[in-house]
Amino acid sequence: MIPNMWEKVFAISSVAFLVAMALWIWEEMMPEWRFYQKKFKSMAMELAATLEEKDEIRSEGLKVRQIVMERLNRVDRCTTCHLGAEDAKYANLPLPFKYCPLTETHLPKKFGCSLCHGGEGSGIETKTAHGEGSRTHSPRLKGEYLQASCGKCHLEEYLYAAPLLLVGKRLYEHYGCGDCHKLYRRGRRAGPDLEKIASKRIDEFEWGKDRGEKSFVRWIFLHFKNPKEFQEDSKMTDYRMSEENAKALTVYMLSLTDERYPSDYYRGRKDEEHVQ
Amino acid sequence: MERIKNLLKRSRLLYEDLQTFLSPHRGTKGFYLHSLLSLFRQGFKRLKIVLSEGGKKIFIKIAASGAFLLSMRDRFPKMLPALKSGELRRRWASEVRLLIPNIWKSIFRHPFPVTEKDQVRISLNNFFLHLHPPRVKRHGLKFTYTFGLGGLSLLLFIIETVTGGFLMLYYIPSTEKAYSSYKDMLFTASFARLMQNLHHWAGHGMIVAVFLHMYRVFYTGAYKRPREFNWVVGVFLFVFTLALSYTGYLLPWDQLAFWAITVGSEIAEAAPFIGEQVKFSLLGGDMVGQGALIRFYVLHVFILPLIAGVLVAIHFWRIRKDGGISGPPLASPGEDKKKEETVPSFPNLVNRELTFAVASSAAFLLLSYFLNAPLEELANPNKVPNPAKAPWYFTGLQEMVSWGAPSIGGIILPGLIVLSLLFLPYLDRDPRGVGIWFARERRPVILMFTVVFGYLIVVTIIGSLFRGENWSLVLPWGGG
Amino acid sequence: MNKGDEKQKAVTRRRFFLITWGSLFAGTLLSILSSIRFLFPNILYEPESKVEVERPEEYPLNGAVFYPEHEVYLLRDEKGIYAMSGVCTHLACMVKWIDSKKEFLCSCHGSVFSKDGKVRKPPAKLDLKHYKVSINRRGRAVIHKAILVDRDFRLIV
Repeated sequence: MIPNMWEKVFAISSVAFLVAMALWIWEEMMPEWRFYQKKFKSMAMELAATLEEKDEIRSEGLKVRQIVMERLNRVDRCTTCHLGAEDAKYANLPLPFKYCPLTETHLPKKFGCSLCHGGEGSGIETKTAHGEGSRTHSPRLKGEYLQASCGKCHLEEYLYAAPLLLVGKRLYEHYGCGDCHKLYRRGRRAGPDLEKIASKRIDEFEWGKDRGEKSFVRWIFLHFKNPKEFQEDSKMTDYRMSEENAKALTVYMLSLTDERYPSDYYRGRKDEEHVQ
Repeated sequence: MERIKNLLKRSRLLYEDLQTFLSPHRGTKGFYLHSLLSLFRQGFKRLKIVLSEGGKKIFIKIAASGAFLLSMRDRFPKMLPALKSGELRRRWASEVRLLIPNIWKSIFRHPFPVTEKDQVRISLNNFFLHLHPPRVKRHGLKFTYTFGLGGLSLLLFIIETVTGGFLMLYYIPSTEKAYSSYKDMLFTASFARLMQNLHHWAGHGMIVAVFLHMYRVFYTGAYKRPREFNWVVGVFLFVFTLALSYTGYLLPWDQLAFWAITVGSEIAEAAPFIGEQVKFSLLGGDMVGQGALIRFYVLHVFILPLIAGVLVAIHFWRIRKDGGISGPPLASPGEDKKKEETVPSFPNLVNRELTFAVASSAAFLLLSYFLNAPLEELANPNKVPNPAKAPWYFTGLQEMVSWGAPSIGGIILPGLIVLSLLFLPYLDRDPRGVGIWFARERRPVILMFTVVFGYLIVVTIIGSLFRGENWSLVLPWGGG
Repeated sequence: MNKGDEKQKAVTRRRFFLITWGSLFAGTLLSILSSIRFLFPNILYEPESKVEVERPEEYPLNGAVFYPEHEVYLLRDEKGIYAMSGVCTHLACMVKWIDSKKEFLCSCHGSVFSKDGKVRKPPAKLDLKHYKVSINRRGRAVIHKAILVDRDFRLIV
């Protein structure tokens, strides 16, 4: 038979319909985390010593994992890919399977991951979970900038593991930022308030004509290096800071969020009592 | 040696696979098989328990009744020869053999229509096909006449209803939870992206389809006698489609939604005399908040679809009663000529409708795969985006409102346009020019319509694409 | 147009219908299946299936500790520790451990279970489920609610 116009269209449409549904099914069957979980399984099997351990690893299904923190109204699904984070056995694995040593003292059940690391914990794709993209309000802190999160709950006695944060706090006083910025009932209001600066949305910062990567760290760091970077009519003094100083101050700024937790989360710092 | 090693490795992998295949853990391949098997196991366990206790009593009863029946066999001589001869057995066997055909025939009472007589009859005998007339005009089947736009609108309405129903299972219409339940759906449910995107694009598509359908009906003069009232029902359906889209727009509770509805409610407030009351009842208050969200939700999922559904039914009923798809008058009103120009709707119309439905569904599915429904950050009443725009189908109104005197641009002018649409078939009584595109006899009214709606389209384009911060004129591709 | 051309454009009726109706049928089936799959959420906001509890040594001998939000009992006898579901197999009420009698009583309809989970008194008919227990790196016991074991299972303390 030679199909006429309608029959040809019908044939093509039917196949297109099938192709469309096949695309969707394929996407559902191949989520990103499945790949990571399989990889971790093979790595963990190699590291497993006893048969019992091997058995347990093998019997783990491939599924999304989450930590529900009801008191904080948060869900963290980071452990879907970051599978070795809670077990010291995996301290030598490469990222993302590496062990997080802070889970010894900060139980994942209570703190989750995103409280310290930032990002959007409820996501199950890398891009969403890591808080990338222009509409994020929670940047993922990398490297030394991770120290900023310690400042969310801890006062100075506990910040021995966050030296850059301590330096940043001192520099805040040293440069006299309070002369123009208000922070915790101290300071004047010539520039924006800094109390919840790290909880602003990324597009709430003044980007001016800048077309580069939109990230918190970048904005704050470059702002310290050159206050007129993004805003030519900025009245802020250029302190000609060194890279290290700018970094330290950035870390301090990143610790100033609007997140508040139940009182047992804080050590050396009560809810509203911010003693400098 | 290599081969043996290979074989051992493969058999080990097979063994491991088999283990996971029967694993009881959710997320492994074998979970469903395992659940099925465990269901059987549980069933047997329970059967064992039941039998062990009451089983003895039941067996005694069965044995007793069996013995009783056997003792009575002399009383039923007629049945026994039949059993002995196998006639009964043969009868039962044939019933089993005919099981499938009997089920089929009880559902499909008539054979597949091949002759023309049968094809015409099936439109009367089949529930779904009875929506079609037995015969349709050949002219109405032409794709380039109707472009299938009415059918497309119906298809999209059905897609919206189905995807909407599924989305309702995860969405929570509370200002605290709307945004997070919308986002979380993407993480917790499979195919959530499909449902969300399809619902979004089919929704916008429906507005375009309904609008183009109105264009088609106008330009082919298909609103004239006897189809005036159907045109009126159609205008109401158009308004309801816009209302459905508008109420749905708020539900994600992001910045886009919140401010679009705020802008829209301000335009509504500009209505003379009743504006404030309309806004107050729409929002359940003075501001867009929980009251607005729940009202819009109920309107969107229940009230508007229900009324729209009834209107659709009336719209279809009138198509049949008014003589089917419009067309030019028959060449000569004789009986034979009439037969020549019509064909059975099964299979000719049904095939075309099916093809078009499949093609459109495939197109929307592919579109939804590649383009995500836009979502901005959580609604923030303290932060006004600049510019804050109404949904695209209302940006025309917003543009007109920006010229000053909001009640004129936002309410009176569109109101007049809707009114003139409603009265169109009663004001244009000239019966000429039905059934062909751009009929020459209808030049003046075609010109008027084209100008008015062309103006609306232009104004919508300006409002959507050419307005930037503070509603200043910008170029849509940056700079300006 | 000669016969050669015609042959190239033509396709057998069977193949044509297989392609068109076959794809349509398959596509529709896939849509229905994915819609059904949508109904089963992948993640639930329910307590984890692996419950980390105390160290095994800290449990009293011949006693039972109840974890209400996980609906699970952890018991210890001379052979070791073991975990049982606290859900009555009759109509899913929570059973209560009677320490004086060393057995479970369900206050809804009076079912009684031994400390091994065996059903002693109706209306329940099935025994209580046993969960696997293991020790994690921190030395704490972990109850695996997703793994069922025999009533003889013990984790040696």
